[in-house]
Amino acid sequence: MQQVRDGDLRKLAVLFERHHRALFQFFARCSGGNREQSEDLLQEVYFRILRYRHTYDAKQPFTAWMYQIARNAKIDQLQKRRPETHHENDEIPSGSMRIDDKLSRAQELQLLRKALDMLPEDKREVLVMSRYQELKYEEIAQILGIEVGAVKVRVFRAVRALGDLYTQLAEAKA
Amino acid sequence: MNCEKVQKLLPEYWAETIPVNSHREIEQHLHQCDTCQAEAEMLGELWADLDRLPTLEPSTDVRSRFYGMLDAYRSGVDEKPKRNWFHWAIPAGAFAMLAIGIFVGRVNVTPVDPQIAQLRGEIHGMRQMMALSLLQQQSPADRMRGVSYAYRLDKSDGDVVTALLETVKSDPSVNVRLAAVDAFRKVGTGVAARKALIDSLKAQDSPLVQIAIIELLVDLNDRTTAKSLQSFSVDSAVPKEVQESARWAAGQLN
Amino acid sequence: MKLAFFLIAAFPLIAQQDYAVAFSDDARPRVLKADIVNGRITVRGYSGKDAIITNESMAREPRRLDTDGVFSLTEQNNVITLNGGVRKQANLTIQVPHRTSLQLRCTNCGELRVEGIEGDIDVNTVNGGVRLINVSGSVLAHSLNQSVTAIIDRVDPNKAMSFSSMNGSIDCTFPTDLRANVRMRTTNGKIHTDFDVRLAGGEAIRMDRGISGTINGGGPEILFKAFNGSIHIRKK
Repeated sequence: MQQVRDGDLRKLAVLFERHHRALFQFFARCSGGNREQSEDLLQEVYFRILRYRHTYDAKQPFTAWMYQIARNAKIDQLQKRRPETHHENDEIPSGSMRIDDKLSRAQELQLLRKALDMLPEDKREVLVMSRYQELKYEEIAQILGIEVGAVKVRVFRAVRALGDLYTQLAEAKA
Repeated sequence: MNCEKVQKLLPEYWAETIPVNSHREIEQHLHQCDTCQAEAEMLGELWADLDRLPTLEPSTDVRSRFYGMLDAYRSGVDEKPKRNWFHWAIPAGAFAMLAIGIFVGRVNVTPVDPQIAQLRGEIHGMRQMMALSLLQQQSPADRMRGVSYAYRLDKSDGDVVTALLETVKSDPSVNVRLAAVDAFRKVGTGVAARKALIDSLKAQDSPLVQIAIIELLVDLNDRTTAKSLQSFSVDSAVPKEVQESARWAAGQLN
Repeated sequence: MKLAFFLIAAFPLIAQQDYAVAFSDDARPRVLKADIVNGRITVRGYSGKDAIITNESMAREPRRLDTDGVFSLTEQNNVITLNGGVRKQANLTIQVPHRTSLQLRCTNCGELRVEGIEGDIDVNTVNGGVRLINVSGSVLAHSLNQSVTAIIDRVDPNKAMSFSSMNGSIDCTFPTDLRANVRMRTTNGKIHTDFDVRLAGGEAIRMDRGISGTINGGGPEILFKAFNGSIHIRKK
């Protein structure tokens, strides 16, 4: 990123190849699987990285800075359009089926997915960041602008909320 | 360790990124505290299951979009302002580049508004960038799209002609080469382009592409190419059908 | 480079051997590349996750399995590459997940056949026909000396297609609601189409050997090019 900031714009391609998949999935998971919005956001983030490259501080880790931009872009997009959650037609992997339980494995995963999508945005975001994006707590703290301890509490509370939603959905189904 | 402290550390406990002594303390607490134990187990399973949710993959478009944006940016064409413009002109959700194609198609050839003229100039520049970056992609389907973009350019450009020529000469896919020859109808009608095409005939290893080039030269109706075609038609290294085509072509142009 | 396959059945006296190869990451786009000099390739989409290669060549001698005699197989980063049929005939049937991109080359093949695949399909043969059945995505098909036949399930508005043959005919079937911009050209053959093609105005293209226009209002580009053969475009 330093090279990009200092003028070698082609090096942005390296940052693209390295991070675009994780970034895309961050957006996809936060938006409940909306591919189109996520791809637009992905494009927007890299554009902003180019545009605001002079604001990058080499002492800060790149990923933290990138995610800050990503979050801002996400907020901006939210303000422009009404968020639609729509699920892509993915196949839930079959895995092992517990015959004695009331819900099949595939159904469990579907409910989990639904519960995740029903989480309030901020809880879901911090959960996605810690669970999927391979970000350390220190980095998340920097991105969100809070203390590390507070991040840990938030993550736990998000999992707990997820569990509550999941239980509600499971009971409704059974 | 009390319940609250344990809860704070549970995600790290599940992820197994927790230091050994904390791990031990947590286990001790869970052993003693039934509520925490039950919750930790249930939530722990959900935590693990989160991994088994299907992941969405970015489509193949993202790469060409990115490189198109980067190239355009590097040449000083700023894509961002146009995005807002398009969100007005085209229903949200249209792929940005496709939107350009649809939009430009609707505009008249002689723009009245100077702003539109400038915009079209910028759009043209961006299309060139898209064509150039797509023509270099690994996937033949992407290169095919690059040729489509080049075909829709209404003015020729040195870089695009060069890239198309390279494609005609050496693209691994015969179909991409054929499409590139077709693109020359619009883009490569200059003298230099035509000469380059004729020169490439000999080294071209696909007879179908050779014939496509010959037919293109006839359609461009350039009498000066007749002589080269004539000598080509008696070159024994050339496949028979191609020789015949060249002979016919030379006849048409004389 | 990693050689990652394991034998399903290994009986030296029996002519058929199966190999299964896993793609590194079955959530990401997959590509199968094959280049066979002598033999035959059939690719079929199926509902599994791995690629299964069945070698139907005759094993002349009862000795340990040695694919190097017939073909080589590697997988890296979700791209499976197969080369073979140089010294011996390689008659291969390959099953891959339905959504896989293909780049297939076959020099002296009876017929290169693809069934039930959605992806970027790029196939080229020299002496052998191409037959694509129930495919969709971006299709680029070429045969030098024989015909190209295709039944297309679905046309993606963002993907172009191109069919070409030097000495064979081109016969393609599309869904009835096809929308496309087509360019059809043959030097020594006829053009038949079930679809109405509205000729493109303003385009300075000679019509004597070709038809260029839109079907049902227009859509992605589909190119057809033949030399010593006819072009047939059919409705499903």
